[in-house]
Amino acid sequence: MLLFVLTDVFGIKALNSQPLPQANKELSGFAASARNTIMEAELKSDSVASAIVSVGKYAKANRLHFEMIDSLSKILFKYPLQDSAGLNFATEWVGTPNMGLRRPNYVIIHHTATNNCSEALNEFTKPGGREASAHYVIAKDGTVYHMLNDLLRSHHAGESKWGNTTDLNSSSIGIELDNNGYQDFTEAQMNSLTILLGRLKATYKIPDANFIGHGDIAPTRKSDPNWKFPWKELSEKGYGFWWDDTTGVTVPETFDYLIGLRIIGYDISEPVAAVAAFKRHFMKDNSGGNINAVVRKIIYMLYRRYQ
Amino acid sequence: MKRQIFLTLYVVLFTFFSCTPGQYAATNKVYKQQVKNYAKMLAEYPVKDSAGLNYATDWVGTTNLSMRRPNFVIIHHTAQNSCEQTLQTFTLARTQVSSHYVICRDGTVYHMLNDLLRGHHAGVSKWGNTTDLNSSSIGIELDNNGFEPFAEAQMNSLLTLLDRLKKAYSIPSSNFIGHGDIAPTRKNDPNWRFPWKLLSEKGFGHWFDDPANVSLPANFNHLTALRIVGYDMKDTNAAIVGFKRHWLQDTTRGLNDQQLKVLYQLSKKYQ
Repeated sequence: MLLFVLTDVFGIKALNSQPLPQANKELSGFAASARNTIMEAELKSDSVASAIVSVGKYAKANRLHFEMIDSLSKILFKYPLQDSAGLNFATEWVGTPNMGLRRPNYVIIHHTATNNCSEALNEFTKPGGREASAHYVIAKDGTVYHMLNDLLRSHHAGESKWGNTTDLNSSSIGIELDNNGYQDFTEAQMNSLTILLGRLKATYKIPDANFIGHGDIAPTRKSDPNWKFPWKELSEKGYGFWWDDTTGVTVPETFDYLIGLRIIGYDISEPVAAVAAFKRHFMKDNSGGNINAVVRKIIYMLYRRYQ
Repeated sequence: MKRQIFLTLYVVLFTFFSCTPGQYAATNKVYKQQVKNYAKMLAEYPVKDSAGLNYATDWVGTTNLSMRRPNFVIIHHTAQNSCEQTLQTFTLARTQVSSHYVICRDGTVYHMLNDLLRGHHAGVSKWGNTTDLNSSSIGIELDNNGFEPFAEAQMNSLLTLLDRLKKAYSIPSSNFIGHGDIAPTRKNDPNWRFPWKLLSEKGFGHWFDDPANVSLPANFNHLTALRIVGYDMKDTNAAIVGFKRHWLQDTTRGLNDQQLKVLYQLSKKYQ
């Protein structure tokens, strides 16, 4: 740890003593080498990082994980940016100190559709494999694998759409629940999930409405989490919307259920898939995309919640 | 007084001897330091946790990852008198406001923040189901006092920039919008003179098909249509004004039959 701090101080000093003209140009190069030194120092120290990198079955993947984060961080240092589009950039560079890191605004829940947790971990540590990943994997016994820093983009959503958002990977946290796709979700798993959701909601101010499933954002391709997932219980704790008592509610004759689904967030370019996804999530009904008066009424109830 | 002299001296010395020459050397330095801190945050793994989660004893980092990217572009006007004034505002830490790009009247582009970082330009806002537009967008400020047309050189630079952003981040045509769209109760920029139609013809933002021979369906609900386009419906009057500014170059309230047809045509583009 001390080595780490020293490197850092040295890094800042070195930055100060850069000769005037090169400083701007060489920032990315310098930052890169400074970052490498920091990483090396971290790896050599007694930190948890060194422990997770050097031992165990996933040692190689962990090392690759750190290398990738390191090279991604370098992109942030690129300033002034090299440009190829012929933009009329000012000769003087002016950076703003008012900034942050892009944060998640949605939580997407998945099931792994694998037979056990190890299969999922192996999948997500395969470089050049399916290139899929998630921020969290929760095992049946409630053990949580945090596979990626929340502030980075994981590859869990795939081609998807919700409301006007078409890059859900960039704006969400992905949570995978170990489940073969046909099973109930275990109590220990749900307990861990609930704690995790509480933490994510508080940290990133994620609105109640934005806790949704993979099957919601990619209804033509995905059906997870399976229909047994307890969305109603989650909504009672503030994660996701639910519908109120329907007694005494009359759906206006003119109500267009597809418009209703679109307002909730569904991509309605394939209406049958959208209805099927809605029924799975909000009615625990796995019977596909056929519509009837009851389904229409519940769509209407939720459409009003999402206004 | 003494402190002020010291401070001035410090700023002057800093300006002459820090790594970047020029007026913004000090804040550029802050920029670099902050990016460095953020890079460290990203490298923090395993993340320290206080919520009592049942973490696995062995840590498994995934190898499939990338940086969070923008999915929207939000266009603003500065409502200030000069580019210089805006650069000053955005380099003061106490203002806490910024944007990724500032485009001056003569078309000069200031790139103030790396596209992959989060600018503070949107404020409290909503579009569709998204409530953190800062995290999912690029902010572009156009030097304009709020009551004037946008200069041709400025529009040329903007179009070149939009083209680059659209390609680099695969931003869908629908997601080029204005600050007044995502915060209709608080904001009215870019002002009604902004040429949204011209932009849409180049693939930045949606436009409506000719409503001349269209008859409104009996069940057409203008509030539902506005919500589908993306507007926050908490204040319906504000949403209507936002819509009219953007798609009708009109700053008045209310919707007549002709305007309802435009909204109907537009909402079909967003389905």
